[in-house]
Parts: sequence; C-alpha cells; structure tokens
Amino acid sequence: MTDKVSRKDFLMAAGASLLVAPMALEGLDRGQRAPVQHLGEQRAVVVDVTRCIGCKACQIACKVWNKLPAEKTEVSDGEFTNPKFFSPITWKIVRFKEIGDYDEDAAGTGGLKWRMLSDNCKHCLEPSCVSVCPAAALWKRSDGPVLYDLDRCVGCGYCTMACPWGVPRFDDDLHAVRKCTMCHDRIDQGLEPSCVSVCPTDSLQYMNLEEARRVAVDAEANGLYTYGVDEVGGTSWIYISDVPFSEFGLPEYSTVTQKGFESDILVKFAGAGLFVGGAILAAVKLYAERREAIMKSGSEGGN
Amino acid sequence: MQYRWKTSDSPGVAKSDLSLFMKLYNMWRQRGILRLPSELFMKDHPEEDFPTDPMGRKCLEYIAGDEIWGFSGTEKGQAGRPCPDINWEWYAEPDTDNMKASDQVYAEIDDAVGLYDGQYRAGHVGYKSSVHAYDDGKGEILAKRRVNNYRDGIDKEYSMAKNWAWCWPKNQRILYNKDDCGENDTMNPVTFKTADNTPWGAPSGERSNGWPYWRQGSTFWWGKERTGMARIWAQGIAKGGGDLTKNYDAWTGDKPPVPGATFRGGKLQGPGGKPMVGIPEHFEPMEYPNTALAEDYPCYGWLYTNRASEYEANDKLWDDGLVGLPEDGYNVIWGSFRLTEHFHTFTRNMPLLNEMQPEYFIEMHPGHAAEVGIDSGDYVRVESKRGWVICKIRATKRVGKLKINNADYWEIMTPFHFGPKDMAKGSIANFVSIGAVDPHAFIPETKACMCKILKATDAEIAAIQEKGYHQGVY
Repeated sequence: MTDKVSRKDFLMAAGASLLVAPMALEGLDRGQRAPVQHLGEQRAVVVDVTRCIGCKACQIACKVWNKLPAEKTEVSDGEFTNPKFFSPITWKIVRFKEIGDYDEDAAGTGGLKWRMLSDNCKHCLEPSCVSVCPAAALWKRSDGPVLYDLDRCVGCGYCTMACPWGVPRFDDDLHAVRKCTMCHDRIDQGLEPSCVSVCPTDSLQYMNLEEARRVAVDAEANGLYTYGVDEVGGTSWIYISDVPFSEFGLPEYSTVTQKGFESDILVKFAGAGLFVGGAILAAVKLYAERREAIMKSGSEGGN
Repeated sequence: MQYRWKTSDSPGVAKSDLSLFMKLYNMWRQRGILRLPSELFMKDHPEEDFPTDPMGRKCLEYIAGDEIWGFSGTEKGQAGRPCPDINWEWYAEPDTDNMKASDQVYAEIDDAVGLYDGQYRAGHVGYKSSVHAYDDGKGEILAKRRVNNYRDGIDKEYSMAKNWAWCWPKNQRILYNKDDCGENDTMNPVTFKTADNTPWGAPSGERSNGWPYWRQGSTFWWGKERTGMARIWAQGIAKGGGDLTKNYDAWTGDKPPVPGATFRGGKLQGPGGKPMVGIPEHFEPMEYPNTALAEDYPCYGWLYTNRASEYEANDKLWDDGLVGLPEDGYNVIWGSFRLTEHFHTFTRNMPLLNEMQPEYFIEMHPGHAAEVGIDSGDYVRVESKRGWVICKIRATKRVGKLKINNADYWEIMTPFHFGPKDMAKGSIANFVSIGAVDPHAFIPETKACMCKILKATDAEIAAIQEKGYHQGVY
C-alpha cells in the first residue's frame, strides 16, 4: 500500500463521510450548544389579541434590538400591515385585520372589529424546521427559543418549506436562513424579549410555559379562541383572540406534531423513488435490447 | 432629546462621535455588559412597595419639586377624580415678550402641553405641577440643562442625573390623552381600554364613561357621558338654538357653550370675563356637506354678511371662489388625521418608520371605491376648489357613509405627514384642505373640507409613479 490516496478512494471516502455526517450530527444534544440558564424551565409568551392596540412598538423593537434594516414597502391594501411578509430582515409583523361591518349590527354588540395580531416565529415545542435541517443548524433550546447557527446553515432551505407558517426566510446575501430568535440573548441576561418589553398594554406577556398554557385554557373557557396550545403539538408563543385565527391567515392545524412528518414522507417516497427509478432503468434496458434486436434484424434483412 | 446646534452639513458620510458610542452601547447591551437602571431596579428592589400602573406593573413616580404625581396617585394627581374643563382663571399665557426666539418656542410648547394634559384642571393645584420642555422659574430650556447632581438615593444608586437634560416626560400621555373624561376614568396611558376590555377600535356600547367615539351614522363623537363638544352641539341644535350668529344671547343650553364661559347676570361671559362673540368655531367646518343645514345653522365661516374684521380671512375665500359647495360636485367629506408611525412631517427620513407607512394614501370605504371603479392600491385624484393631489387609496370600512340632514355622504380620511421630499414621498394633503381660520386664534381649518374623488388618468399615474408625488393648486 502506498501512502498516496488514489482519486477514486478519496472520492469514495468523501462521499461516505457526506452520507454519515448528518447522522453523526443528529446524535448531538442540541440543547447543550448554547449557554442555558433556565434549564428545565420552558419560557413562553402569551399574545392577547384583545388587548392589542396596533401601535407596532413590538415590530420596531424587534428590528432595533436585532439591528435589522428597514425594507422598502408600499401601500397595497386597506390594512396597516407593513411589511406584508416575513423576510430575512423582518422577523415580526403586526397583522391588522378588519372583521365585520358597521351596518351588520347597529346595536353595537357586533359591528366592525379591528384586530391586530403580533406575528412571528411561534417557537414550536417540536419544531419541524429543526427536524428537517440536514446540517443541524437549527435546534430547540431547552428553555424555549428555536435557534439557528448561521455558520452551520448550508442554505438548503428545507426549513422554509417545513415551517407551517413560512417563518424562516432565506437570505441571499448570507446564503443562510434567518428568523426570530425570541431574543435569546436577552433571555440569557434575565430580560424579557425585546417586543414584550415595549408592549404598552401588556398584550404580550412573558411567562413560564405552564402558566401560559393555563392562561390560554382559562381564556378558552371564557369563550375566546386560542392558538398554539394544541396546534402542531404546542408552541412557545400562545395566542388568545376573540376572533377566529383564520381571519389573520393563520392556518388551522391539528394537534398532531409536524415533527417526523418529513421523514415519513421520505420513507414512503424513497421506496416509491426506488421503484420508479428501477422501472425506468428496466424500461431503458428493454428499449436498448429491443433497439439492438431491431437493428440486428434490419441489417440481416438488408443482406 | 439632546439640544444641539447645527452649523453645517457634514462632509460626505462623516458621522459624529455619537454614532461610535451608539455602536459601543449596542454591543454592550447585546452582550449583557451594560444594563439599564430600569432593568436593574426591579431586580434590586423586588420587595419594596412601589406604586403600580393600571396594568399592574411597578413604576417609579416622577418627582418634580415638592409636587408628586404618578400613574396611581389619587391624593394629588388627576387620577381617580372627575376632570372638568380647564380652569381658565388659573391659566396665564407664558410671558414670552423678552425671550429669545428659541426660548419662546420651548415656553409655548411647555404651555401647550400643560394645557392639553389637563394641568390647569379644577381639582388640581393652581399652578403647573410639572415642567416639560421649559422651566418658567429659571427661564431655561430643559434640553439645554446640564445639572449633574442626584435628586435622591435612587438616582445615586444607579448614577442617574435626571436633571441633566430632560424634557417631555409625558409624551406618551399626550398620544393617548383624551379630550374629556368621566367619573370612572383614571388619567393613564391605557384608559382607552373599555370596561369590558375590548379594544378601542370597535364602537361597542360598553365603552367606559365619557369616552368619545365615532359612531357611524351619527354626526358627532358621542360617549355615554357626552363630551364638551357634543354637549354644545346637542343643546344648540336640538333645542332650536335661535340665531346664534349674532351673539350668545339666544343660547338655550343649561351649561355654557365653551369651557370657562359663565353666566353672569343672565348673560354669557367668555373665559376670563371677556365678552363672547361669534359662535363655537370648532364645531362645524366652513365647507359643510349640506348647504340647507349650513344656512339654517351657519358656522362662523358662513357669516359673510354683518362681518367683523376677524372674519376677513374667511371672507376672502368666498371672494376668491375657493369654497366648494356640494352643489358644485364637492360632495365627499375630506378629513385628515395623524398616523401613529409618523410625527408631523419630521420622521419621513427614519427608515423603520417609513417601512411601516411608506407613502401617502387616502382611506375610502370599499363601497365608495367600487363606485369610483378602483380598489386598494389604485390611484385617485382628490380635488377641491383649492387644489388637487394624486394618491393611492386604501379600501377600509373604518370610514364610511355619513347621514347628514337625511342625505348620504361618503367620507374619506387621509394622513397629512407626506410631501415631495425625503424617503417617504407623497403628495401634500393640505393642497386640498381649506385655509379658513378660527377668528379668535387664527388656527387654520386643515382637518375638514369637501372634495371630489376621480379616477386618476394614465398620465397622472405615470407622473406619480415617476416622481413619487403629483399635486397642484388652482
């Protein structure tokens, strides 16, 4: 054996390591990758839509603390929602929505409702973005935030597709994905997230997850709608509202967690893919054999 | 806010030393090296009994001299007690004759803030309880003040020299303050919360006492407990009113028509014992949607005959043909407002604010927009007798159809922050509004007028898309 590695051996080893590396990373305890001060204590934020006055202070506070630049926007619809969509530099959006009409009920019980929902990453308890990430760049910290490592992100964009709300957004300049971090750097300092700290009406409240879920259950008992207690297996941001969340464009999800969903699909589709691939190869082979046979017979006939 | 003189524009992108310190500050904040006193305070003093704001959060009271008021203080402050109208006898104009121009500005601001914030209300002490921008006693602009001593132990503990350069402690309250308040209201930033804790956007009947709100189909702000303005209108018109155009002798209301006015010897006297002339100016605009109603109950702007010198500016509008009547097609009610995101016209160079409100628009009811044949994001031409602007619309049900004298009128609303320069461009709203003035204070009537709405032509759309604004005066 010479010390020199042949080109073929090198490529094979590289290929094998590429295959094995994600599995090895999968085994890491991601919760330990960042300093955690509230181990065993899940933190959560309750967003009470009924108390929101739409001042957008949270939206600004998010950009200020995380030093995100402004976007170029324009007036495009009747609501004050701006920017309209999440982006690598917009992690939080206050969604405005008019519901009903003045004319429908003159008595004053119904009528026009103007509601605002402070929307951002929900920090799922079992995040699907984490489970699809092939580079282990995303992880769920044990005290709540779903965090990510820009250096580790390979820019595949799987998480942008896996997220039920389309929260992670691909940044072309960084060639990586960015999203709300629940101000983990503030939580490490014992502070509440930036958006929560500026809310003038306590529409956003920072508390323990258990307490937050209790608040939501109480609200449900009072006839209010909640979002995030059961949806996709529970989230760290729990919403309370007096109008259905479908009004804000939040899809209705079952209590089934989305984690592992993609691996189910992979398993199914891998089998299907193998079958289809085999069928194609077989067809190619059959075609080649037939063509050869025809050519042979043709040449024979020619003679 | 720091008071700074600007001598010249900086060369190129040269930045002040402040930008460097801001970077350092942000870095230290992000890494937890630097903590704000407000963050440390609640950690260091969790056991002490501090007053709470209406949301149940601990807060420090603002201390100015021997006068203390806080969010929850009921013994001296305005909180928890009925707030009648301003006591004009205690009120004195600031003496600005011998001041420099800059001092005059700050003194007037200070005075206006005090007035607006209810500093002169009955039940309160007879002097301003706090200073905001200008210290009358010492004659100094508070933003220029440089006093580095500590007021109390708390200041010393956290090395905060609160008398250094400080003003506008009540900015937030001004934003959320209200015109009038009822028995159960407390003066705090969140009194717009209703009794049943529903947001203020909805006109539900369960509003807390005295909170005025706009009711579709009604012609006025109307609370359970009527506000000052609504009271005047209701008594003046509902009871017939008489000929109020000459003087107030025919006033039939139980209460004086304007704050501070009194009945003396059966006759109305204005604030400070001055004679009352004219009729309440603020209550109806000069351009009124219904001519018949305007002739029956004319506001000051219609007092063309028998005019006094105060009305000259308004008469000139009639002479120049700058008043649009509904008969001429000006039958859409135009109103202007402020956005939370912008402050006057100053903030259109701030990227984060422009991101939220990027351009000039008008708000129209979807039904109205359908009549014109447009939808959200399309351009319209808003036209009055004075001028015209091209702008985008936002179709929203927050504005609608008003019923005035049994006739329906569409209403549009528009912010006035925008102009042809700066980052967030837009046409100037006040090209449309009317130049009528209040004959007493000469405050222009830029909040209400009548206009026409037309679909913008292709040439106009091309012009505004190129320039960012398109406007003109006649």
